[in-house]
Amino acid sequence: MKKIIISFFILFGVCGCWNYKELNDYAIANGMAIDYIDNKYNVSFLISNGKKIENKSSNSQYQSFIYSGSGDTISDAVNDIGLIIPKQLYIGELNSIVISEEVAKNGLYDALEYLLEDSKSKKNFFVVLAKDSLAKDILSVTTQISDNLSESISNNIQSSNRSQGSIVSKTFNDIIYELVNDGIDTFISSYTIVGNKDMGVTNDDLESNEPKSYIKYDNLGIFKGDKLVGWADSNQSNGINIINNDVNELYLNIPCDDGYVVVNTTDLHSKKEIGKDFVKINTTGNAWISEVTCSINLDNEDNINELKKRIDMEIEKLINAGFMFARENKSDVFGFGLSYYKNNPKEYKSINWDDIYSKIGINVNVNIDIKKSGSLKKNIERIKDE
Amino acid sequence: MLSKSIINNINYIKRLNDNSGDIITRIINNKIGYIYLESVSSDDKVSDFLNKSFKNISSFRSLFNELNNKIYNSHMMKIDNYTDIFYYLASGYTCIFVEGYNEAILVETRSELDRGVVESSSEPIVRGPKDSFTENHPKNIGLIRKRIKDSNLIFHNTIVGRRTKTTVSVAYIRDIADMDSVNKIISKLKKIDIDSIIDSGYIRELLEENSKSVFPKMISTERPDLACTSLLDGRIVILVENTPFVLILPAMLIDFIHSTEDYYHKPMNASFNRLLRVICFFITIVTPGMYVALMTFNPEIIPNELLISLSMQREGVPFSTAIEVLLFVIVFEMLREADIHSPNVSGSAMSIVGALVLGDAAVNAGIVSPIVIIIVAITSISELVFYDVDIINALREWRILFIIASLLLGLMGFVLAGIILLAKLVSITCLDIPYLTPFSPLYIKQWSDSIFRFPRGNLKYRASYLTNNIVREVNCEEDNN
Repeated sequence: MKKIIISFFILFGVCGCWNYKELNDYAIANGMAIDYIDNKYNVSFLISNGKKIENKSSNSQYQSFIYSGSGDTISDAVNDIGLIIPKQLYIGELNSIVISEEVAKNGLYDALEYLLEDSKSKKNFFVVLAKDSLAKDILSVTTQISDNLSESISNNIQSSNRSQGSIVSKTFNDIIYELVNDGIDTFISSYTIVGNKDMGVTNDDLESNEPKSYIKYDNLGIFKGDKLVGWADSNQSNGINIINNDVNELYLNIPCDDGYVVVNTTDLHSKKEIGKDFVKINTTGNAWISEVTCSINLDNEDNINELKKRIDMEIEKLINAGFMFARENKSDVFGFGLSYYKNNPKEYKSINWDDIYSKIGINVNVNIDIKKSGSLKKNIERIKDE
Repeated sequence: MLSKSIINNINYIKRLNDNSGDIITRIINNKIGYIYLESVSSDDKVSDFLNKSFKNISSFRSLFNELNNKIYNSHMMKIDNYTDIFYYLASGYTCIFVEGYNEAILVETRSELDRGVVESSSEPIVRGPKDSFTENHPKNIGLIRKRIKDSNLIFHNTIVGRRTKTTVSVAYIRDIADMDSVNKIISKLKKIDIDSIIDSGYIRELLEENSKSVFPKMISTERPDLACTSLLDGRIVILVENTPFVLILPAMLIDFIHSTEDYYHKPMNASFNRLLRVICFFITIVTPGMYVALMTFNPEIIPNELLISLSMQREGVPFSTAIEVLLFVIVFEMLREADIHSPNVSGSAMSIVGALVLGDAAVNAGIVSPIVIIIVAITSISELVFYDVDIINALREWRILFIIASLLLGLMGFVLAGIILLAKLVSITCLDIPYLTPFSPLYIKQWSDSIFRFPRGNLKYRASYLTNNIVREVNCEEDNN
């Protein structure tokens, strides 16, 4: 018994209160922005204003504050912030980080190294790019629905990742995986500010029911290695996401006579067979008719077959656009190289995949099933005519 | 040796007790004399049985034999020395002397100094028999006898206590209980040399081999139905005179999670209740410690939204998290202790002070954060799910240990405290049965009545670690062979 008591005291007493820190001594950072200004890193943190969250009715205060610091390295910049904020910065609960275009063009390794090393931070926060504006400005925009912008970004990514073809959800872990692995390159969604930039950062914007400025998804940024090499447009983004099986719902406008048939394609699934000369892509999925603005008769089987062909072609066009764009930029965002390596590990070492990838062709085969031709089967005008 | 003279005998006894006020004596015709203590004897019985019996005496020649044969009482014995005489008088006997004989007749004229069989106050239940043991020893035995009308149900009496001379009965069912254990307990009881036994707690403390552990190794209950089910399982019940609490042993940890009521409800509902108690067992030990560890060492585990809210609640509280939690855990224990001992009249005043002043007002005054009140509330509620006071107290001590370990080392300390708890539990034995049976060592068959209570059809066998006679139902004997 004596031994137990002594060992107990040694065990607990000698180490003291190692790592002890009261929760209210932390400034809890929700979001982070990394900019590169005048050859220096400029890091901003979005710190939640707990008092506002506690007392929702008070309108006088901001929901969160932005603190920035700059330095030659990210650590320098973070230490710089330590001089400003009265509490210890806590980055264990980051929701998302915003990386500016310039940082991305210079290379992600240097920017992400700090977060990778830090033992306190979770690695599952979302990473987005800032397009046409500073990352800090994106983070400063006030939001109406969510508590702060960082949360708004992560909610937005989670809710619309599958339903929007041009968005990709990349967490920190995903990006690190894609950066360190050979034969795969990363691509990240971007945000841009819409509206008056200066209005967006004030609380006045919260008081009107129509925000004067807000953030919106823009194009995908395509990387080669750790460097940003290009922005994919909407079609190209959709194509990339279809090949990567990252789209659940995709609305397609199929033109007909004087209007459109809008179909919602779901359960898109692409099977890839990777060869050295070309990649076979088999895409299957279902299509649901969601809007008909022309006088097509959907009872007619020929019309349906014709429509199916048009949908297949449309998707094939998207896939081709996405693939071509990635190949042009020599960015293997589909991980074809990695898949090839997994199947032929010995051969992969003896070849230069970059050369092969720049010449590779694709063979696209799309097969979409039209599941349901809408509940009316005809448009409103045609019902009226009859 | 008794004297032949009535006066001498009576005077001797009076001197023995220094002429206490409750000694009543009477001498009839200089032939018959009797003595009793009015405090423990019933005057009515004395008048009814003795005085009426004396009327029937026809001849004074063989007076002693006449009395011996004619007194209307079945509790009678002869005595010829002074050694035990005061024990019997204090037990409510009346002692009759006859002039010229050096023997005395003892007749039972005990008055019932008890409150009768009433509903159990410490272990109330919703369904099932509501009677409870009393302070009257024969009545307690009767409450068991009337439930198990089996000739194999044995009550072995021992008198313990040099001054109190308390009767301690060891009850067991001869062909179910493990006789080695029974003999061990009886011999242990006989070896006890103590001046007084006031409650069964004394016996428990003296019987427990390793009393350093805070976990109880015997169930202390006032429910006769629990005593009977335990007997039928092959356990041993110790009844102590003058206390409504009987001891049941051996008891494993799982037995404190069970309640007799479980057998009166439907199996599914009973299993749910048991599962609830198992969950509460962990919650009540772990919650405050876990809270301290997460708040002061490992905030990364707390979800984002909660983290900000928790950090704001802590804002302005002067104490550190651990002190705050410890303070309120102790305040709750004070409230409970005060509640148990306060008379019903001041109960409502107490609940107002407890609920309003210590809860709401403490938060408003900035002494404590609201979440700590919630943590302590959850902890205390899950603590009170158990019906056994001893297990509640044991859990309380471990809870405080978990808080201290978490305060010093965070989650690491929390895990260490968990390992110590597990090691402690595993090392306890009661009558050579490990405390975590049937989980460690493993008795898969007994799982039908451990955390879950299976339907009656699955409970055909008794626990093999308690008894060798494991067949509970006759019709399954054939299957067994």
